[in-house]
Amino acid sequence: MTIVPPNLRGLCAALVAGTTLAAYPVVAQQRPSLNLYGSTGLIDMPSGESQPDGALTATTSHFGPISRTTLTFQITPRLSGSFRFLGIRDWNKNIGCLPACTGVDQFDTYYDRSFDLRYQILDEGRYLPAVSIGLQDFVGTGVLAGEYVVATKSVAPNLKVSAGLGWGRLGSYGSIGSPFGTRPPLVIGSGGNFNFDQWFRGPAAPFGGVEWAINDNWTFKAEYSSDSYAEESGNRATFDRKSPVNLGVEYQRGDSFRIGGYYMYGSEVGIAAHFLLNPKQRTGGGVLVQAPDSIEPRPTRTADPDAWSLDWVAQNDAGQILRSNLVKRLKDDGIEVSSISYDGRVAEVRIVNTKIDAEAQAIGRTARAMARVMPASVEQFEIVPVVSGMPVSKVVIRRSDLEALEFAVDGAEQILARAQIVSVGAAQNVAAADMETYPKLAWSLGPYARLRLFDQNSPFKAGVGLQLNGRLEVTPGLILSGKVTKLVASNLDDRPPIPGRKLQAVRSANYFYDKLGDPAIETLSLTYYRKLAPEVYGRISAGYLERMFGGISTEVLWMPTNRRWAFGAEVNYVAQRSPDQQFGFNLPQEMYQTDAAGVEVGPSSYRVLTGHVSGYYKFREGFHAQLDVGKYLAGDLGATFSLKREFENGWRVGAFVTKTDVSAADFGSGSFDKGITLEVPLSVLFGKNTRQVRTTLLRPFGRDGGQRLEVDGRLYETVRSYREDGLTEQWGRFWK
Amino acid sequence: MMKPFISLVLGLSLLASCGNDTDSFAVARAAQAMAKATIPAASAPAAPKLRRADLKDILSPIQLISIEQRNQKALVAETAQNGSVSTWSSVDKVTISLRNGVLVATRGLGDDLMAASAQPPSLKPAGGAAYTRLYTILNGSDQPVRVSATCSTVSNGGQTIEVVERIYQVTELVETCQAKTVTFDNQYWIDRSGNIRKSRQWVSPEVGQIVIEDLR
Repeated sequence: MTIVPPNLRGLCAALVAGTTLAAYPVVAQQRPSLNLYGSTGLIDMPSGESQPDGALTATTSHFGPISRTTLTFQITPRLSGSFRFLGIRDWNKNIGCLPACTGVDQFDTYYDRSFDLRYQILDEGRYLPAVSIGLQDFVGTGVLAGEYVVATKSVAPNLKVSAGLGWGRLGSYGSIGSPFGTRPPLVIGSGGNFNFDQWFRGPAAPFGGVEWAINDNWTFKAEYSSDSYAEESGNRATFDRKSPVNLGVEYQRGDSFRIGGYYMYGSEVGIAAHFLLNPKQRTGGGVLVQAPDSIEPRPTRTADPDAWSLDWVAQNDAGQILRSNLVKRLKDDGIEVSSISYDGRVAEVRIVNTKIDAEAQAIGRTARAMARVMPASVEQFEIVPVVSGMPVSKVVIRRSDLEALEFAVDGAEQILARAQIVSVGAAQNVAAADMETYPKLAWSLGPYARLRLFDQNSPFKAGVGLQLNGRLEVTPGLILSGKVTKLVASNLDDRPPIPGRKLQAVRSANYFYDKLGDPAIETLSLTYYRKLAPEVYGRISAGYLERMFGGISTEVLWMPTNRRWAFGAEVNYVAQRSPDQQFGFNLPQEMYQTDAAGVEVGPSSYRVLTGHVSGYYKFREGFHAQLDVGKYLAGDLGATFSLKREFENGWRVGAFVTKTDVSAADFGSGSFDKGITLEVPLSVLFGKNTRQVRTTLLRPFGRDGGQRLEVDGRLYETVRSYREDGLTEQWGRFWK
Repeated sequence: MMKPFISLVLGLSLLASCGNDTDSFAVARAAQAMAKATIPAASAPAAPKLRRADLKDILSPIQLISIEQRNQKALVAETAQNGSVSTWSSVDKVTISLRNGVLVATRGLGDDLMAASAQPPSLKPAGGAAYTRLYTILNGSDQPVRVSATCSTVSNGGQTIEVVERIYQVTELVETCQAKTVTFDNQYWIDRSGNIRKSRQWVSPEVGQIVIEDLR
């Protein structure tokens, strides 16, 4: 194998030409594979390609003493981000500090988190390669820090060649000099700093390799690595790096799984498993639901004048009869008919959609039921989805459009173009309302899991048990809800290292909440929702609002249905709950214990006034931004910015950062709060109608600065899926 | 699909005193009884073969649909008519919609055919001249995707087919369609009076073809 250092000047020229050449036809390509860092690449080195837009991949890889687990998201077609958890075994074994190792050497296994960003600057063309530029571990401790520019070209249908230039640890073996000057030493501080001045500085070294697809399933890879593993192999002798050459064979099973075996650095055996997921795809095709009612066109007025008579409007029990007929037709779809009102020509139906993930389908099914049930004189259908007693939008559809477009090839687009979606207030002239079903009780007893990730002793702790959930809707919008949990098996009692703190332990005493709160009353609260004006929503919640805080929470939201923005304000007065998560608010001194010198103490009760003003914006391209500014639980002032990529079918992948007036030193490890969120709609996984979503939050450091109250049922997420953009993003399901 | 049947009755109940719902209750009930008798469960390995005698009590039009890839069958009865499109429903609410015998929509199959343009199959196909058919299918993000297929129809001449113990002299037409991502065939077996006795038509990439047999 010959490794040709890439010509930097050529790369830059390619960079400039990139935008115009992007449209070139691409040679038949193998799928871009992942490396042991969970990034698109060879074995230990990156490649120039990207994963398909939106792809979400999880990689776990192990060789010698080194284990990496990485979650990577293709944020846009060109930009991807990774979050990685690293473990290096035998960290302090060979440096002669045992048994009294301190500081970074105190751990037998060193754990660290890292973030990467990479951008594909050039698509592969007939002659030009795919080129990507990447920052590895670009924020924080920088143990894995490295930068690279790499190009990949398919030279034959089953053969790809990659070559690149690396800096940082990717420039640590076989360096060709420092083209952009020396690399300043890393100032770690409390971590969480962007290491700008290091990027692309210091020695640069070439790397490269080949990827040969033997057939559709099997791939052979060989690479020359520019990583000397100076710390792991050199200083700490955790393994012996004998050679820069790595070899591997990978097996791809279906679209979603890939496994590889490798011979690493002339001395170690490695394995990797990759899980690939495209949120844009549904498992097994479309959602499997029963067919809807067909539209039965009305007879013409001349053919059947009686059917068009308006006598029914004056009929006393017409409202009850129409409503109960709608209820029968919509019951199987989980659509409740909360009220109807009408005159001879217009009928308004208010619905509660309990089951269908696509809001448009709930509207479509209601429209079909109305077309079956409503007397012929009703030409205008007005459908109002209601959530927690609050009507959100009004969808106005002409019945003759429904009749005409049921089988049109572009029926979805046409009916949307002719429908109107407007803001709505309280119902007027209600002819019949849902009275019999209140109070409504929903409860469930099910499995429960609690995870505690990323502590320095063992990064994965978990407990499993049972949870009892109850929700009693006393009247529309007045909801008593609670959740009780009991662990059955757990290692959450294992005490993690608890670093010293400067703030009230609003979150960092979580170990004591895990240990003492079993069983726990996680929440028990009364919430009242009310639509205050056609575009303004309100909420008051009181009780045990979350596992660490109880009190009162109030919120208002201004959200016009036809806009992509909304503004909200929230004020809470809360007290910290006892770690046993019973009814008390006493804080035992035990929960203030840390590993810092001396005995830590704290107040025996803690109350705080906390609140935020929030702005929300949904971009057309499927991104959603939120900015919250206010006072956090520890009394710190600051702001949180979150950005999510939102797929139409409900998948959401996001990241957030919070910066408050707490200094990086007082905050502790990580310097500021940040994390990743993943929301998975179960309807996409199972192909069935359900509105359930599983939300996962990954927070590399759980500290006390920048922490918000975690009250359930905040207004914006409660109502926004019935705003115009939410109703229409899955509009294809209107006719399903 | 086709698992424990949920009664169509709920969906077809009549409006008591206002409105003009004219769903035919009897057909639904007969179809349900029929389906229970003839198609115990879709996944059951040896479903009893449908016999003509099983159909003698049904006066309304009935068709038998078979989903090839899933080895599932269902009886469907006509439940609605909108213009020239008639919709046929099984008791567990799988529907097909036909315009002059050409499949223009399905529901309840998962990856459904949301809508399609239709060329009525002609006994005298225009010698394989190409025409365009549009199929609308939802992608994984629930966005309507239009599959534009270039199709042409040729006649395979006269044949004899059997549809549940009845023999028909028919002409077989084969419509071959080619789109960017998929190629498929539709077949129509048409008797001398121009009725489609049997057809095999494409639904979507996941569902593939379904066979529709007219039991009238």
